[in-house]
Amino acid sequence: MSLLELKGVTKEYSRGRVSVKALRGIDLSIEPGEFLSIAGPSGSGKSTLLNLVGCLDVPTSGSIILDGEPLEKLNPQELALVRREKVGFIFQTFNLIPVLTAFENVELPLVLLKEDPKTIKDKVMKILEAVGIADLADRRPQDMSGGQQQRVAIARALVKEPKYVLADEPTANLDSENGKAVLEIMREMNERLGTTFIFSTHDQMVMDFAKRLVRLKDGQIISDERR
Amino acid sequence: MGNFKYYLTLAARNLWRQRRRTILTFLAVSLGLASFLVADSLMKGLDKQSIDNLITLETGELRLTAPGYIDIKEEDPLKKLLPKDQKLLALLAEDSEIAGLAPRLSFPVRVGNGWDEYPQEAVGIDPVKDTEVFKVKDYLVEGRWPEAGYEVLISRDTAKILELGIGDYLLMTTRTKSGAFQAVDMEIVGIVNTVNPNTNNQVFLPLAAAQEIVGVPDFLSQVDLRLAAGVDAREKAASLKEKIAGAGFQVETQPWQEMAEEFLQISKTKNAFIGIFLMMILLIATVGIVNSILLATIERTREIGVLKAMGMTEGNIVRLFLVEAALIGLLGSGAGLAIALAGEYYMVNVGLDMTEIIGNLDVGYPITGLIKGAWNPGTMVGGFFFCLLVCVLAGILPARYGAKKEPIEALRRV
Repeated sequence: MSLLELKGVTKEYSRGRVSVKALRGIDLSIEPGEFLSIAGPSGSGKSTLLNLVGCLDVPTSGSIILDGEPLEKLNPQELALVRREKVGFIFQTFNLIPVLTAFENVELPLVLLKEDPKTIKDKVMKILEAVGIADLADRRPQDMSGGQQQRVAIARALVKEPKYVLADEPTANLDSENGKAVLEIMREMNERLGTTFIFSTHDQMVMDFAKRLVRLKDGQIISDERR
Repeated sequence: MGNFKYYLTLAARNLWRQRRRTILTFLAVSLGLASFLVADSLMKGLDKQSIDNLITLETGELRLTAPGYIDIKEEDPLKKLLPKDQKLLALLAEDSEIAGLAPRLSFPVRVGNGWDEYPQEAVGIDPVKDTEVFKVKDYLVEGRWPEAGYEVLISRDTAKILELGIGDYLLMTTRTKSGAFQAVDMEIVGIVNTVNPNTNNQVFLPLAAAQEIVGVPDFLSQVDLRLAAGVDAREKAASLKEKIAGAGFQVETQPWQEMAEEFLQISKTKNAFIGIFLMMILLIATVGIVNSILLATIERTREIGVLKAMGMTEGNIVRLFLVEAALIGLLGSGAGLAIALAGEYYMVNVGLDMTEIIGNLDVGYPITGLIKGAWNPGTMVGGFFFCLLVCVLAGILPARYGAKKEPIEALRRV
């Protein structure tokens, strides 16, 4: 069974009297353990697709099936619980909570899952070590570089061992060296933990890292290439 | 528990992050609560002191008079008097619920020094028994208590105005029961300065002299009573009237609450004022909290988006902001309580000296200059929790406003 199944998914935004079709009938099947990049120019619908798959938004028509369950039947509260249990997010601008330390940022998903303090501590330290920033556990975001902040964000996305991680242009705010390092960590986690990664990009280096590349243009899939 | 600890940490740090705004809201809550509690303490103290001054210096706890005396007291107080009957006094003395009785004869006089004169009330007292009920003697500032003959005790203000002192003679003019003019020279033997302005407008002389001056030997205006501890004045007034009637005497009984009706009315009005004060405090606290939480939800829109993406529900986000509101409420109310404790300690032990402002002026309260507060533990505990509750309730609307933001929209906010 596929992890995610998208069937005829469309998304339309209304801005005043103007209607914009961001996605026009997407059919896509994503298997567990994939390392998939959604590529395309600005306005192609990458972020919209990621938002729908991430349960942050609902499609105008079509269906998204996660683990055999159609998401369109869920209310906002249920979608929040799906995100809590099954989805990890990595944002372009890191989006760490500025008043929390690296450790506290990473433990947030586990706190929401009501795990016990000892398990939380063990899991957080383990994942911080895995992304190479265990020694920065007590630092706040403003005391870390962009690359270090994105590693914290990766740790935060992975700590709860989600079904899949969505990364929206994860290297866009990093220099090439840090960007490459972050991608290597993501791929290592994919290989070591088997976590599915779906990331959007228009950067060739990022596309080169992907094991499967889905290209979008004007809200439609124009190619789906496995490597 | 883990969740709550996390929320608490997050809330505390977010408050510290906006410390200027937090401090302003904290000050509004704490100073508001403190000023309310101190004002309440002062008002309670004012009531307690006033009632104490009224009972111990003016009315006693219960008064016995001849039937109809109360209605004609202002026009002709000698018209309806109570016979000074030993049987009646013995009946009262035997009553275990009566701790003291003071027979008195009151009538209007003009007191002067030969040049100036002004109106006062003369009170004939039993020099021994009067102290069983009243504490006027405790306020002697000079000389001694009148004992016999034409001796008089005047207030310090009267002595000052008439420029008289101990050993001088006070010219006292009045009308006898039959309406004849009467003028007597009374030797000033004592000067008092009580804390009840009404008492400071009275002159005290031995009962026998008073009866002789107005020509009513063996008659009294009233018998004032002090009741045993725990005896209710209103209930006793009713039961005593019946008991005395059973013994063949006709009297009217009046508890102090009826005699102090005017003051008690003012006291009620004052409670309404305290209510308005409380509303103002609540309004200030509410505006402060609403402002703090609303601005926080606007400034942290993107963070709300991130938290929702992590799986926080609307309820989780509301709770997060309510913890912030509760924290400000807790700190503000706690500090308000601490300030109030210090303020009330001062008010209870030192008090506010208003002598220069009110002195012996009749401001509706039987009290002179020094006003002391009273401890109000009930109001303190109630005020603390009420203030905390108001802060949390005030946070609900802005917190819900913040929590309702769609994650996708919130994440787009730069």
